[in-house]
Amino acid sequence: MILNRRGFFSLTAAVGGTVVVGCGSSAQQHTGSALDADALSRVLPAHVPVEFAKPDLPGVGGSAPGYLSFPRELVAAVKDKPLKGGEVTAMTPAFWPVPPGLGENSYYDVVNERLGGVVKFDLVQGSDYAAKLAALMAAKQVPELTVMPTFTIPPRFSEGVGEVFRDLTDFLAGDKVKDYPLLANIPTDAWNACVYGGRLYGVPFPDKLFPEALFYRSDLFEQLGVEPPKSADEFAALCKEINDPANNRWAVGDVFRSVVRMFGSPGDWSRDPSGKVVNVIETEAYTEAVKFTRGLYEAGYVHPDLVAGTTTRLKELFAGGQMLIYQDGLGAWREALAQQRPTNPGFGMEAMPLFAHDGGKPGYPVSPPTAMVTLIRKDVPDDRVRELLGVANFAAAPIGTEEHFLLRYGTEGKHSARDASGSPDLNELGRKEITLTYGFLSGPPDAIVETQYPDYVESLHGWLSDAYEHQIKPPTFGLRIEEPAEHSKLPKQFEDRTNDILRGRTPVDQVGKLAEDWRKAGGDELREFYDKALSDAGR
Amino acid sequence: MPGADLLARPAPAAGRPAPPNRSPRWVRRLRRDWVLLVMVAPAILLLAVFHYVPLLGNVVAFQDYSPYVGIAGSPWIGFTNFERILTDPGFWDATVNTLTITAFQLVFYFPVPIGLALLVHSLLSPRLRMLVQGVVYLPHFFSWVLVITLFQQMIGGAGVLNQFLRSHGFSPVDVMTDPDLFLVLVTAQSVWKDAGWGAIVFLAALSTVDTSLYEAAAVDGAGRWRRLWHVTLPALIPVVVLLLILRLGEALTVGFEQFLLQRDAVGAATAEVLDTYVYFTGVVNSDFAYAAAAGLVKGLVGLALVLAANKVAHLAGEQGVYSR
Amino acid sequence: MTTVRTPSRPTRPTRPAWEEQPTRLGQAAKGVLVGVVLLAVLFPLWVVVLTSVSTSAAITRAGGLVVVPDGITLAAYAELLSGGTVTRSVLVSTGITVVGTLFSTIVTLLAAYGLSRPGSFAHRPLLFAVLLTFLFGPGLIPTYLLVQSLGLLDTYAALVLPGAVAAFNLVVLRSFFMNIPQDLVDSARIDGANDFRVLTRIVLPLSKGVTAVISLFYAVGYWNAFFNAFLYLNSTDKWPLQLVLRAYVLQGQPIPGASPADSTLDGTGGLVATLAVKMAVVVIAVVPVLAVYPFVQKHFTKGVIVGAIKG
Repeated sequence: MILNRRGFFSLTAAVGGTVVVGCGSSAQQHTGSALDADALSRVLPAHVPVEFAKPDLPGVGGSAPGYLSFPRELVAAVKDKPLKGGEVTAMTPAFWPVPPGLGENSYYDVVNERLGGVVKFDLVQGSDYAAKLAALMAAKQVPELTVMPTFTIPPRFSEGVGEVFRDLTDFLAGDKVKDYPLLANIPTDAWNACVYGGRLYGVPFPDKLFPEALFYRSDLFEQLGVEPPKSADEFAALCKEINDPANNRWAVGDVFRSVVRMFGSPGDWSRDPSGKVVNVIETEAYTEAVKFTRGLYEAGYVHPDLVAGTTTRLKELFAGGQMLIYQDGLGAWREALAQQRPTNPGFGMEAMPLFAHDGGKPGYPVSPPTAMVTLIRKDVPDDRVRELLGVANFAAAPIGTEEHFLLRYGTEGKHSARDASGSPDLNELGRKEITLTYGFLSGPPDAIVETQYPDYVESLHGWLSDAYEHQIKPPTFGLRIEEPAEHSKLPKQFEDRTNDILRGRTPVDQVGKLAEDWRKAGGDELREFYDKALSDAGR
Repeated sequence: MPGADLLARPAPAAGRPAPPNRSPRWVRRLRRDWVLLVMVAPAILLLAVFHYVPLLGNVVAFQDYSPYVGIAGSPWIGFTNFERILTDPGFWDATVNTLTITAFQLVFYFPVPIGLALLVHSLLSPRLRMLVQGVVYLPHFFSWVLVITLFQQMIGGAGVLNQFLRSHGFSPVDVMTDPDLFLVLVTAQSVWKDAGWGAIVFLAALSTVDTSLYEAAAVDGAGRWRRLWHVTLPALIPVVVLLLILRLGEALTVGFEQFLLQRDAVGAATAEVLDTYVYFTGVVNSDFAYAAAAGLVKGLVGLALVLAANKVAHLAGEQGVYSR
Repeated sequence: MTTVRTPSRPTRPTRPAWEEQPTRLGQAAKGVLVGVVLLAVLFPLWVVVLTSVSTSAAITRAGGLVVVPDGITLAAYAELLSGGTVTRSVLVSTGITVVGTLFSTIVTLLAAYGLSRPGSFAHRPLLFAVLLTFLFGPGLIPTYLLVQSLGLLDTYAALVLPGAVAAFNLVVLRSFFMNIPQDLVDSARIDGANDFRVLTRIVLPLSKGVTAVISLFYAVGYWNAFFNAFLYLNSTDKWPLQLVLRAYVLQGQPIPGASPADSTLDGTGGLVATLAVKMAVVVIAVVPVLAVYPFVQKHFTKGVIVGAIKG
């Protein structure tokens, strides 16, 4: 599978036909599985929060805290060296150019010195990660530490995990995690993704609950004298006002998933008031969202690149003001600031506050907050497992600790320097040598720490606390559900059907048939499967 | 006919006179040809080890295969994976799309590199020829993502062409998202990306033409076109036939990325080809067994087409992939 | 009795006496055609090169690829070449390409010749076996397990051996050999030349063009390959150039099945426009081909003269 999969995300993960928690599996006799909530709670580690630096903007009811300035005084959170010498092999994904290797990388040297051993990284480019991990697992060739992104899990992973990786339940479940205080600081939700077959196999790298948002160009909105909308009608009116193809300016890019949320999506799978399990495609929210979005396409508000499904210059179009609203991962925000601010200080980008189609109370079905899972090879002896968990503990150090600074900014003065306001930034050597490697072995709970952009910290903090208040936890949240393989093509098939309606290739009345066809094409069986999975889990 | 030398089917090897003893025929042939076999051996050995041995792994197509328990441990499920493929209307829709594109491209793409090679070959000025020859193949090194981005930015809805039309009061033209134009569009993209690269083999074939034949033909009174027909083309035909047959062997493959990237633009009904179908049905979040089964189906169809095409080539007096 | 003459240079400034003067219309049509072909190739090339040297601001203003110069910088190239990993990977790639191309070309030449004699022993089943490898591909995991069991993991051999023989190249080369007048081969053999001698003295000189092309195909294949390296190598020190460059191309690019939030994982926020870097990668990938191609092209010169074939 030699593929360049750019622009892929929009194809595979876009429309919510079905949820894929974990990964698909194959063939008929394999029926898929879910894990019941009790069993889950028995293996999950306890949550014992610690704080090393007081946030300027505390989290609201559990949302991410924000830091407007970087802590001056750093605390040593890990007293001893976690490793007792020797070499550790580790594999991590890389989503960026590879740094110089061991022996030529002073950042590796200084971190290894602090860890008390040498970690040898095999860096694997993120897009091909699943293929390599599957091969390594089949050959039982995995390194001692394997960092696995939760979005590129190899096929039938749950069948292989116990064969290849170490069961960590007895090291971490319940209060045992307190031996590793920084791991105990990770919220419980993030650990769900590490559980397979009722046992705990990994250590998480936490992620946000909210994968994406609608972004808009606040500077251009101001120039045009418009404000973010508060209802579907206002959204349509806004699009009309700002759309100006003759001047190379379109209102929106791809916004469909956000529109489904705006019309009140209960999540990919949910129970309706009568207790029946329903897929989002069967909900009125989906139907209305399709009709509404089709209207945006028909009126010509959608940038032609997106009509053609081309996402290659999405960020350039947004930055260039040729597309004023689009939906992207929350991480795109900071990236855009870093990219645009130096040449365009007035560049304004904001996440649109959540709103409901009727101006009422909005909702946002959340995703499991785990980006990576770190696994340990099966044959590693107990003492060594404890050492390796110590390394993960080190990597989970939050802002305000020496460890957090070391992993992200190296040695101050050598790899990085602080600016006038105290925010650290990598220098040339740092940019060359430092990427997230150790930093992936685990991570601190979500926090907004980009102190070089205080306005961004405030905006994101505000958006997240608002979103946190409106979060909807679908019944599937935190469960690992592997769907039977015979239905694996349903999501794509109905995403295609939806796209045909959105882009006007099939009549709008087809939207009424979507749910019915979906049921006939296997949706009803999938519903039964989910019903059983959810009931088994007591939901 | 001077060109006949090159076209003439070589007579079966005279070989050395058969030795007088009465050993079986195959022993005599082996004795005669062992040097040739020694020459073939390294390639065959490499293919046997690195291709045929792992090819045996394709038996997982008949299994509920899990890589973690291996082939020995995975249960056998007969033709279930093949049933999943062959009983799905989506598979047949994708096959029809694929074959339509293959057929269209055989007519409108395949001859282009040949024509290009002839054009380059006919250029008199060595400098111009060097220039054309030296650049036409370059787009081959562009990824599909880049090619489609370039097309999008030139003739797409917000592209240079349409911005020009809009600013001059004309209505924009819709090329990239019109399902009816899709065949033409993808073929144009293929021509643009790969025709120059494809011409290289034909240029090599043209370089084997004995130039004295041109002069001889001219002296015999053959005009420009007759010389092309009787001298140039005969040198090209064997390689043209060969490449045509090999292309047929890949009739069910028309590319993956190119279609994946333009799927939303025209819809799955038009842009779903076999490789994207298999990808979404079996590979993207699922199993190796399904992919293996799909690969076997494609290979068998390719094999049937190659054998049939080879037969046709033989009937037409060409040697095809391998001789009779 | 057998002479093979190759003209030294393709320079043939004047039309040969026997060739008629072309019509004006024909000339004009050809001129237009050549112009269109050149434009169709050179324009996008211009766009790619220009974007690779454009500033971040210029790219933002253009909303993507840059067509008109608007702010020039070599920052993208500086970023690519300053990374410590690139320089070494160029050496690795060059080594693999040179060794792999030599090896593949020799093995393929031998096999193509060995299979090109009409009626030779077992040539049909062998050819069929080669052809099947063109139609059926082995899966990723079986190949990995094989490479592992041969002890080739983390070695350069794993980048060369699995794909050393391409059925396509072999079959094409054989087809060219088949079209060499058999008389030439036969007469040489009667004169006592063995097959290795026939191959090197008779067949190869008559097949310079296609041999150069096959070598080019192999070389480009080795130079551009990254997947075997990605799969079989464990240490980044051994990475070839394309694997190193691929990271720049994939940067900021969504991963299949990934949630959009994953872009938060981007630890670096470079000031160089990512699009410029991506285009610079394209340019860098093409440069070695541009450098090598003239040596291949040299063998396309018109006029391999197969003189004096048996009277």
